[in-house]
Amino acid sequence: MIFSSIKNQIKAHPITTFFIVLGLSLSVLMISVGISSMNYSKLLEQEQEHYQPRHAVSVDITFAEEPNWQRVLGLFKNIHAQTGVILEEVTLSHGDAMMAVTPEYWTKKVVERFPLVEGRYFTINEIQEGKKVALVGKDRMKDVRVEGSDRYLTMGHDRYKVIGIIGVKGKRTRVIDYQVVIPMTSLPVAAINKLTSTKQLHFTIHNPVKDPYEDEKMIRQNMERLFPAAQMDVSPYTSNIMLHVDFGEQLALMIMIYLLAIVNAVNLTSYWIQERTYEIGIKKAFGYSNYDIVSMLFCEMCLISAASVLIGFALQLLCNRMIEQWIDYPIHLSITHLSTAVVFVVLSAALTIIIPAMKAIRVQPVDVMNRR
Amino acid sequence: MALIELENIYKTYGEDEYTTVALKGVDLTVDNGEFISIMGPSGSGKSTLLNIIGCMDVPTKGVYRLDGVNVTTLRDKELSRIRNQKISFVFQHFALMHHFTVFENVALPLWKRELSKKEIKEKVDHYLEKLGIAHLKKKNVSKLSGGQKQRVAIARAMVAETDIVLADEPTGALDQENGARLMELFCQMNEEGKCIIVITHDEKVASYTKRIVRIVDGQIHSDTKGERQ
Ligand SMILES: Nc1ncnc2c1ncn2[C@@H]1O[C@H](COP(=O)(O)OP(=O)(O)O)[C@@H](O)[C@H]1O
Ligand SMILES: [Mg+2]
Repeated sequence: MIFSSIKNQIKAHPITTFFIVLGLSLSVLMISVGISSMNYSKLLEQEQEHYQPRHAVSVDITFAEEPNWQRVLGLFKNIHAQTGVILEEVTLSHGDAMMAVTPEYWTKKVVERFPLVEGRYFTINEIQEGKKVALVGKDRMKDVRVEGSDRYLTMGHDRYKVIGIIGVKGKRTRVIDYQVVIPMTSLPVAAINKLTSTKQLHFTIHNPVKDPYEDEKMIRQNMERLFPAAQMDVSPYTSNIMLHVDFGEQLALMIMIYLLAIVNAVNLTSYWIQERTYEIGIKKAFGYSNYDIVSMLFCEMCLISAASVLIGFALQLLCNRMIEQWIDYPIHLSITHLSTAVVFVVLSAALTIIIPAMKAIRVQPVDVMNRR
Repeated sequence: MALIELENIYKTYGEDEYTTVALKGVDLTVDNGEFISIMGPSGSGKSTLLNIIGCMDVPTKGVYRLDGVNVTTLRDKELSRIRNQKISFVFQHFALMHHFTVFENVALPLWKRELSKKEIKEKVDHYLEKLGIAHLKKKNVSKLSGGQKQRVAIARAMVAETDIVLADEPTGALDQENGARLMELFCQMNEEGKCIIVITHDEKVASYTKRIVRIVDGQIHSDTKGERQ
């Protein structure tokens, strides 16, 4: 009965129904996109937390004049065996584009920072000898050229041999998958010149087990010996990936859009009920109580908002497919989506139906019975 | 025990100086299986009386007992139950749900009963057949002629199989021939034991009934029983 009734209503008031569904669908879309982006941000945050360097500090050195690169490497003499160095903000040209790379350095021992999908990590020899080898994330595989049994990535004028793919098997790990990791010592000459010409050096030192206070001291000593006029600043490590997601703001926006959709739906439903007073009067005359009428309207609205949820989700999937190339967006719908959808359906139907229901209750069969 | 017992019924519409007293102390008793016509000038309170009998409206004063139950104190839930199970209506302008099919309109009273879909379908089909409109079953009611619409309305009243059938100027929108056919149907239903109350202006229509109640200015003016004239 409810299905045939709603089918008839749609046939009778196609435009009204269309706009109700459109309004609700769009708000579902917005809510769904909001949830996706929140989930995504949360995921990124977790990944970042998980894969960021341990016990890390950021170091900034300002030189008085352009430093010699070999001397720069001397800064790290006698630091702890497990302490590693990551140069920040380094980009190399790849074809016409610039590619962010992560140059890493250890003095005695390589500590693997990322999981490997295949291949192997750097050896200490490769690090110390400045071998042109690279570890690449999955997303960078498209930039890699296969030659025989080897794979190469061309950066600057140099060819880096890909010795391993970093990442997690069967899963996207956004903080890893875009990365290219190379030995700091293997940087092309041009890149080194560019770097030293700024008279600035930003790097992170990190250690898997303890805070690198002593290394910090050691680097300062080395600096005072090698570059007496240089200045060194140490600050707590902050990730170079900026994550500024204000969940409260997103939530407020979603709620606002939702309320707009509800206002729209209430308006249209009230109008719709106006059109249906005749039908409601007849139903009452033939034995439908106010309770029956209101629950009928509620079920109808539930169906309508459920349909809107489906359309909204479908729109999101569609949009995601289309915009996936430009922005990295996860296209899967989560449990949060589904539970939100259920709440959405019931809440929307309830909110939408209050005013129309009061109107419907006031309909007296005698008022409409003798109408033509 | 009488089927319908109205005791000193008053009905007032509006408030303060704008009040209209539509019924002024009506007493009426109707037994099972009666066939009554209510006549009277326009505005005399006929529809008001029928609406009260049909539990669609409540009297301002007085007592109405239906099957021995005082319905004046009942709430919406119980009243709608009574409307569904004891009373059927036929109206001048048919009161069919636009946008719905003949089947959906006729089946309306049955959805509130504890019947299976199959039982509903069988009952509806039976009465559509009986009224010769089975072929219109899937048609939208707004596409039907006046005579066809009134038959759909009659089918809806029959399918409910209630003891009481109330009709407010049922022939008012019909031509002579369709009007006569409708009254024949009412006679048939009455012979099957139903209590039928018809409001009419038309003496010819009243002549089908066995009792004529005349109302003037909200009061019963005369109440004559006799065999069908
Ligand atoms: N809903 C209403 N509000 C106010 N007055 C009404 C209403 N219904 C009927 N009346 C008045 O009550 C009187 C009786 O009306 P009604 O029962 O419809 O008469 P009839 O059916 O005999 O023409 C009329 O004066 C009419 O104007
Ligand atoms: Mg009338």
